[in-house]
Amino acid sequence: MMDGKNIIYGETAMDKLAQQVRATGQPQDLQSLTERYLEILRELVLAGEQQG
Amino acid sequence: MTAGTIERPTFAGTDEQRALAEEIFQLMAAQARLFALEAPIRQTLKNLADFYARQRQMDPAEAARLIDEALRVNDHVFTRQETNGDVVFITSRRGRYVPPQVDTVHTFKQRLYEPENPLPVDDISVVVTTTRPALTTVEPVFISEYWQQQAGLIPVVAEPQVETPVEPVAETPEVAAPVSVSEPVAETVSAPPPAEPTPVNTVIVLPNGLQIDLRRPVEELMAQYGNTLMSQLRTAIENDPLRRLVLFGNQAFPEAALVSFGKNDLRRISDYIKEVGEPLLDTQIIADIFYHNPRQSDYEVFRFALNYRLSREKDFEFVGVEGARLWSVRNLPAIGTKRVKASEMGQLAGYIEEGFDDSLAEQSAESIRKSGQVSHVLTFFEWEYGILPLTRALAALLPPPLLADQRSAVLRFELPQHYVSTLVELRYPTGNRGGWLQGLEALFHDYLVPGALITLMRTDDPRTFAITYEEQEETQDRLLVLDETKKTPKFTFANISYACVVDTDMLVNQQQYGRLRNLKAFPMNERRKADLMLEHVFEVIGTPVGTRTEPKYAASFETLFVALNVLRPASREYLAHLLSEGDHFAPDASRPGWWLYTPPPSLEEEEDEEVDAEDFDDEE
Repeated sequence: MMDGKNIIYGETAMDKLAQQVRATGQPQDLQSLTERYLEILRELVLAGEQQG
Repeated sequence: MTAGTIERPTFAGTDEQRALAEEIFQLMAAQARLFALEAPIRQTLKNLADFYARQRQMDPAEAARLIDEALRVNDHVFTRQETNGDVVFITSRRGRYVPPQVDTVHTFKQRLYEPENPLPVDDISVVVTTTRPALTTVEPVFISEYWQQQAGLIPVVAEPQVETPVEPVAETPEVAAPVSVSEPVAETVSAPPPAEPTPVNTVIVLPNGLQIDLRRPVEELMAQYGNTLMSQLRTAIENDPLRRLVLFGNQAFPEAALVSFGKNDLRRISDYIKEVGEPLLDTQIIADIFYHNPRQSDYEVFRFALNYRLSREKDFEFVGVEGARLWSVRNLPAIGTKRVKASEMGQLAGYIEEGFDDSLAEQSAESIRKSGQVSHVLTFFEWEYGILPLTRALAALLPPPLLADQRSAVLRFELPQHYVSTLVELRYPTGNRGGWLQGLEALFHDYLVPGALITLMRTDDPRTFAITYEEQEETQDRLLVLDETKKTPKFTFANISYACVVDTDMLVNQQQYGRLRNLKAFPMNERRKADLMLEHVFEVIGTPVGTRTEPKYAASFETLFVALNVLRPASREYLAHLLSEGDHFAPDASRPGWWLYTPPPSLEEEEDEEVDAEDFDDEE
């Protein structure tokens, strides 16, 4: 879906990250937040690779 | 044509076919009399044939054949479709069926975000409607990526090639026909190379230039770049104008999902803290003011919301640590002595930030963290003012600040041997100003003396620490004290009993350091000049080895260390630095560990000498 060069770390898919954190119903510590965010970005990029 | 009349279609074919088609049209129009004029009316051939056969008492198959023929002839009225073997005829009340066309050329979304030929943007403010806010807060406004690119706020990203779906066009067979001219061309067209998967760039570049390949598992990335990734994400969250996520300490949550606290709530919290008279835990505030129960499912979010909101209020100050979030308000009683101002103490402890800290010479930071305790010998200054400079050894024991702009933390120090405790303020270092602990005055004066060997240790509670010391039989000695009862504070020796083990070299008693009664109790703002203090200390405690005209003093390093620490805190390393860098200090070659001080000739002294000479002349 997305090329790596189009991803702005800390900007791209932040809405999705916020949605996920909200869905957990608990404040998340920075480490788990970062892991969650990397997973989201990874899905974006690898989905693009599969489509390609 | 008026609104009430509908144009009647004309029918073709034989008389029977015309009559049949008209009958079916009227039948379908009657069925759909509430439909819009252009709305499609569908009916299957089977249904029509069954109806017609029942009416005419004939074979349904024959009826179907007649109807099919009649309606095929009138294809300008009836559109014939075959779906899964069923024949369906479509018409409308107007007498013709026009397939609906969805116009996607101009959508609101496209016009708003992706205009094909946008107007030039000279100023981004013309895109964003700014309204005069009732309050003086600047609300974040979402600006689409397109306009941000136009304004040069973010780099322009090349649009990926989007494959537009090819609509079925009637000309397709006509295009194919003229292609068959020569064989080589036909081969290239008929056998295109197999589509290889386009390699997608999975490497992202962080704002600090670090490149990360997202093809690698998250665990690996976190193990290698965890700190950078977390700090970059923290920065991005903190700088997000939309505040999609907000942070408090190490935790994050969407701001939109947080409970809001009104001014009345904040006033109640402030009043409660003032009433108790000391900083309060967030959990205590929640329980006592908001009656929120930790067993409620939204407790942690409520707690986060409270902490986040208070952190944004000027009247509240966070003085907690990880695991104990404490809140203070203005005008609470100060913790610790008022004799040393915070600005003065920051400068006095500045030597630690300058790198003259030898507190880790005997215990490594790692061993302190592991054992959770650190040993220390009290100096006179520390004992007198109840202040401990925040050395690296103490910093390894005490909790770091939880918030980036946190100024101080309030801890509780217990003396388990006497079942007493006190609040202590931990001031974190800022810039070139050192940090310190203050508020230990009463504990030190009641149970310890300068030179006492104490151990500071962690407890199970993250904000509570313990001070222990080794007890011994009660001893009485004449120890140095600062007499502040008179207008000018003065050092003197007084009888004091103590029952703690002391480092005898550091015990400031009259027997060892009797000359310190001549020490001048400088105001704190002068004590920050460490070189001047050392010169004064040297003159007071040093042994005169010069002449009347050329005075010179000698003192051992350890004596100077104890004496200097009466006036101000200083480490051995800092003292060594002052001695080696000072113009008037020199090591004593005859006695290792001893130093010499030659005071510079001053105008006052010269005048004194002149007076002395005159006196001498008079005597003669």
